[in-house]
Amino acid sequence: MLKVFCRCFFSDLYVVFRSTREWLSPVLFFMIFVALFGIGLGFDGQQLIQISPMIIWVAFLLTSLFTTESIFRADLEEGILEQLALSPYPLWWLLLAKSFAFWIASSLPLMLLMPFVGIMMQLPVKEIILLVVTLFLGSPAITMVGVLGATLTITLPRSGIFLGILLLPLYVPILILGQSAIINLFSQTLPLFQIALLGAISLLCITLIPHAAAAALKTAMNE
Amino acid sequence: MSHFIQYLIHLGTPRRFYHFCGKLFPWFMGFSFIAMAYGLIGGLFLAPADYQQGDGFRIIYVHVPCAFLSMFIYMTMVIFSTIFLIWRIKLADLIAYSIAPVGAVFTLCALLTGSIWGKPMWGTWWIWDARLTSELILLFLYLGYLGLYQAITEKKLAARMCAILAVVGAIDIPIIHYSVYWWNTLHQGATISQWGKPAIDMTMLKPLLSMITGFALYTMAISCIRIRTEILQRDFKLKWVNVLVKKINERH
Repeated sequence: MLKVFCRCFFSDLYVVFRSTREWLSPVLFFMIFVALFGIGLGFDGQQLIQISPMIIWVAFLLTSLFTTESIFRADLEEGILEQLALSPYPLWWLLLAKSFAFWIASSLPLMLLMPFVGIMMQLPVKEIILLVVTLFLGSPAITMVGVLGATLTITLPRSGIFLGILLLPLYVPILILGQSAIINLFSQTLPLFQIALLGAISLLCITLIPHAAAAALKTAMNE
Repeated sequence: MSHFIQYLIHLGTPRRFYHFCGKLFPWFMGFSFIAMAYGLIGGLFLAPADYQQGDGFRIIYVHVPCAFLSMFIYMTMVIFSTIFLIWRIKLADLIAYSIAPVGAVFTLCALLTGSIWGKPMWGTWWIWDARLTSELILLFLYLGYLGLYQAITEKKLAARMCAILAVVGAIDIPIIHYSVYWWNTLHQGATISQWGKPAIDMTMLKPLLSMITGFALYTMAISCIRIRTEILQRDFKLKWVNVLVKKINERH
């Protein structure tokens, strides 16, 4: 089982990182989005510090929404999804491996970028660290929700903006927790409660969503 | 018990359920009318004005039933979606799909009445408070569900996908409930709790409960119509539907 997981995970990762456009375009989108806000808000440093963590969170969510559509596009076109559904191993396990690979390819680069973005947005070190921690704990949930959205709309030819309506409700709790964690830090208390909850939501998503996504995918493949 | 189960199975075919709903409809409508009439008279005229909010509080006689039903209908949808996912009973999916728009409208009503109440009481139409946000998100969940159902052209597939979405979205309901405690909030706590003494006088509470019952019965009545229509639309090729339509046409 573990071997299959690793095989699926590494092959996916290999495919993603071989095409530069695939993993670089979300990163660029994220940078442009944040930079536009930085330029738009101008030289008022104090104001920027107040709202830039939220801008980064929203940019992160929008970037993952933007990449969600493409999670299974190539696999569907090449018939890999059918192969996965037919394989003797449980589909949710394979989907978990694929999601993990997708998380590494889409969320991790953004998190590595965070120190630079934080400096650009005039954030103090403490907040950058908290931002990275909350994003690190929240992003698995965001990725899993995205995977579910991608499987639910897999039969639709163009799901772009519709995916937004579908996923927004599921993103919101994560955004709220991330935002309230930062607000807590502004008032000089360590937001352990929010961090714990973010981790809990991510764990819940990692355990439950692969099953739901596998069920949706199986139905879509049967039709 | 086994008689009851047999009766349920007996009801499980769309044709029987169509007639069953037709029989229930006048009862639901009638009792809902009585309950709402008592609730409105009791709430708007008999109940005393609130010592803080004056007569402004009376909007709860619409707001609370709407908010309650918006969540209750979603829960019902989730239960029927689960039944559909586990036992593949087509009727369960049909019921879930039929009541979803009703829930969406109640959610919208709860948001609007809350907003109207909020302007004089809190001094703002809208605030990103926990309950308001969750209610808005509930509306998005309903819209996402309905949108997905219409977007997928293959109806069997749409039913399964939407059932999965509804069940996943159900995680949102406890978050709505607990967000009041989790997040700093402006919205007051729940007025009626299952345990302990309610924080509201009996003369105000009785009409409120009556209104909630009335709204719930009204929802069921409306659902009966929607379910009947949906059954006819889905089974339009079957013989019994054609016979029925012919009979109705002859009568007119």
